[in-house]
Amino acid sequence: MMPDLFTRELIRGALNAARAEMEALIARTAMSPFIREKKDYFTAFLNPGGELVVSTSLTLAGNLVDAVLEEYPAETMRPGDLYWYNDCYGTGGAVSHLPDMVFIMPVFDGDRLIAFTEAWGHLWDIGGSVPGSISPHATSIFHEGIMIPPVRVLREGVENTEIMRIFTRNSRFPDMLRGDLKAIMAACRLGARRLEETVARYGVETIEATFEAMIVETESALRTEIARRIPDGDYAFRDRIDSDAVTDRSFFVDAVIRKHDGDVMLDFSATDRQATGPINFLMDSSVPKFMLGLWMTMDQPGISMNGGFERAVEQVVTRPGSLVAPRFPAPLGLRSHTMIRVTSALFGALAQAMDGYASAAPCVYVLYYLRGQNADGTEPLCIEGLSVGFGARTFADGIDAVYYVAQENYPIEFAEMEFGVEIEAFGIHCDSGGAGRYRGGCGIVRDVRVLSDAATLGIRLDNCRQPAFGVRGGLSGRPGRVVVNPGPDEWDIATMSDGNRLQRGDLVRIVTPGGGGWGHPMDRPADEVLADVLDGFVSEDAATRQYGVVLDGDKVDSAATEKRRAAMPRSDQMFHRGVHYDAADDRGDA
Amino acid sequence: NLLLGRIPPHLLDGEVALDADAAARSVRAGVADPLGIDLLKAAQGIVDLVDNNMTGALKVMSVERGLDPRDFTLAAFGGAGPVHGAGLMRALGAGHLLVPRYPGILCAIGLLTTDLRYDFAVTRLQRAGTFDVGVTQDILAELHARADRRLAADRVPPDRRSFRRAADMRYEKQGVELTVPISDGPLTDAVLGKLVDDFHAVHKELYTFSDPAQPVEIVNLRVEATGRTGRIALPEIAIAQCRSPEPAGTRMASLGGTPAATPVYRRDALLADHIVEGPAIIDQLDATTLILPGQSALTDRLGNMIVTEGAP
Repeated sequence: MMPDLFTRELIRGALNAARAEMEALIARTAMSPFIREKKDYFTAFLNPGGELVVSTSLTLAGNLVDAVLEEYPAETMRPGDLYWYNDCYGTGGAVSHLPDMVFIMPVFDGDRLIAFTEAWGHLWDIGGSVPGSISPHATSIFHEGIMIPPVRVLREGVENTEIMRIFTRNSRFPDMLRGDLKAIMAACRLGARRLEETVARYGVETIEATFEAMIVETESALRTEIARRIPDGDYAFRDRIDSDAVTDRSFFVDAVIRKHDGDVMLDFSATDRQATGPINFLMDSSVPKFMLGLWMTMDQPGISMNGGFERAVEQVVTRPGSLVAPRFPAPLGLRSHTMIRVTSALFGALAQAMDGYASAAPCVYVLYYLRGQNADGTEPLCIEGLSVGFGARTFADGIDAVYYVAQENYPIEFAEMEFGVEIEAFGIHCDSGGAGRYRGGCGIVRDVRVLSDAATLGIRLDNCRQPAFGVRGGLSGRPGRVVVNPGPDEWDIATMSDGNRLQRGDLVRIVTPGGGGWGHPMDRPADEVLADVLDGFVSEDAATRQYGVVLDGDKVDSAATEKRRAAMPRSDQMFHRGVHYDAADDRGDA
Repeated sequence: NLLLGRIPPHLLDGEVALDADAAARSVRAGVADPLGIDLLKAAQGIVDLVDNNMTGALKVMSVERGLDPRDFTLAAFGGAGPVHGAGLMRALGAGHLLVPRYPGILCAIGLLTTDLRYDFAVTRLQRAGTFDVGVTQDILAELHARADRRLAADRVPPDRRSFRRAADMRYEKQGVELTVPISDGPLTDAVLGKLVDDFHAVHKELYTFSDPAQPVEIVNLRVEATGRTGRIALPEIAIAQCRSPEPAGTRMASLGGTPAATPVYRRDALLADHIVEGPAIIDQLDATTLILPGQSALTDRLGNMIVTEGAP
């Protein structure tokens, strides 16, 4: 029997509260900066079939449970078991780069398997060719750390310490690793306990029926939106990646949304070949479905991201050997460069289906790896994630200075205490957001002084040669840059590179790119442009040239603005990247 | 609320008059006329929207955390809280509504009766294996002295002052500390050793696991000082002979959607065990309480009203 709406909302609330508790447990007890400061983790509840019911809203969930069930059939599982893996290729892309350690615990009511609870976290160092494991120069997944196929790390609550000893022996920071693993494993147990309490309160039949109802609700929400907003037809878009950091060649992701008789297929088969460098993205079919689903239902906060999105989209097609279906052992460490382009290629396809009413392109988040060496033998390792600008939305500006969904930057006090650096400046990258009726989000500027005796710098900064595109008259975002010792003797570092030698006292300025704009800049109300100038997001020069807004001190010169705006050309081409263009021009379609 | 008769045309028992005409002009010009609806419908719409927003905020604190409002009692306080409390209780499905005897001054009563509390803390990172008994003792003594001076300045008599010592501790490499109490008496290596054992226990209690092999750090030292104030004994009120009180009068008011002559009670005339059945309005100096049709309000020995759906 279907539980009433009130009960379903209570159970949804209980599950989300349990997840919040799991995440708080991880953040408070973990030891590596990635987890405790940057909050790089993902928690979920799944049904016995492995479908997500509720989870963190990251579109990287993949298909988490099947790989475990293949090795350990459900009937062999017992309460208190905990399963673990990070093997990307061995699990068919359930996890998409090696540092993410996935833990899955079955939850029982008596003998009946009713759910799985899951937590993963991004670990600091799991071996591989460089400290921190990920390098833009990796050319094989074997350079990126140790691979754990699905294993059972707890059997009825008893730890398999041999696995743990083998694993931690492979890290340059074994204590930190052990602390992080304890935190993530404890979170799984806590989630299982909270679910058991919820079952005790409402009964197992009610819980199972609610799980199914939540999935059906999500499916139905997405199907409704697709039917309402995407007419039948094929909508193709190609988006581009600067480089794979190894061959210095540009790559592209090609997305086609095919809607026929109400069924939707996402076709990536015309995507570029796989890369030599680590930008390959072993994409589970759930990922683009989640991207589409989250975007199409963004104004319905009551809808949970779950298996319903997978049910609502019939098929995802990829070509083996391509950038989104690479062959073993292609490296995967920088897969986000391709993953974000999958998102923006879908936005580009949606823009054509929906008369331009889709978001402009976001940028790929930035990381730098500063591996210090001191004369006393210590080697401080600084890995910082940096925020970028997101694409403008059809109803609001793009978000300024954000890392992926909403992970956090390190507090400067913490970075300076641990990393052998001094952060001398941190601010908004003025004019980086693409101009538009809605402005693209701005990137940031961060000045990092090297305090170690010597250091090697790896950097991954996309959207420099291929800035984030604008939509429906909106302009592309401004590129980023990496420059050492700004001034007369400055020198640039390639934005996708590793092995850059630095010494004590060098100042590295990292400038991150901005997102694309949406709508014509001359349609942006002049007082909003003025506010951006006063707040340092747009320069006075750009206000005049790109927005046609003439300022007189801290006021708008209305007459001059009106005159200038009337003379500005309005392109009717859908996209902008340096120049206005249409999707067909870029794909070479006839 | 004024236009709907849900509050009297004055506040503070008549000391502050309300301008109902001005309210009517404002609602008419801002809402009723632009929407082409009549004045009372506009006023009701405003109240419904406000109640809906407050219900949403209450759900964030309950349903969205998986907590069933039926297990809880909603407390309505502040001068305006009891005007909306009954409606919110109904919309949320809360088990009961508690209206304290003096809703308008509840916070002030709390301020006057709560203990004084001061926290003094010093950050002094002590890595594992470098704990210094002498330094720690000195810091705690200094904090204690400062806390004692503070309470003295508040004129708390010495026999009403108490102090607790504690350390904020974490495993090496963690970013968040746990506060662990330090036992009274002279500080020794044994006391600090026990402090580390206690940290492991608190960590296990709170986070389900501990790691006795992992080095433990002390980050902050704290002294928590309490100055105990006197308790106020709230007076009990007389017990009613008959359970149904007599209303003081009636007022035209919209409690169920349409205006009707609604019984009005004086809060200070209600005695223990009195039951007021809705619809009803209860006026008092510092607040107005509405009881909706179908609800009833039972007054207890301390003068609190407990509102329930149906009979009490």
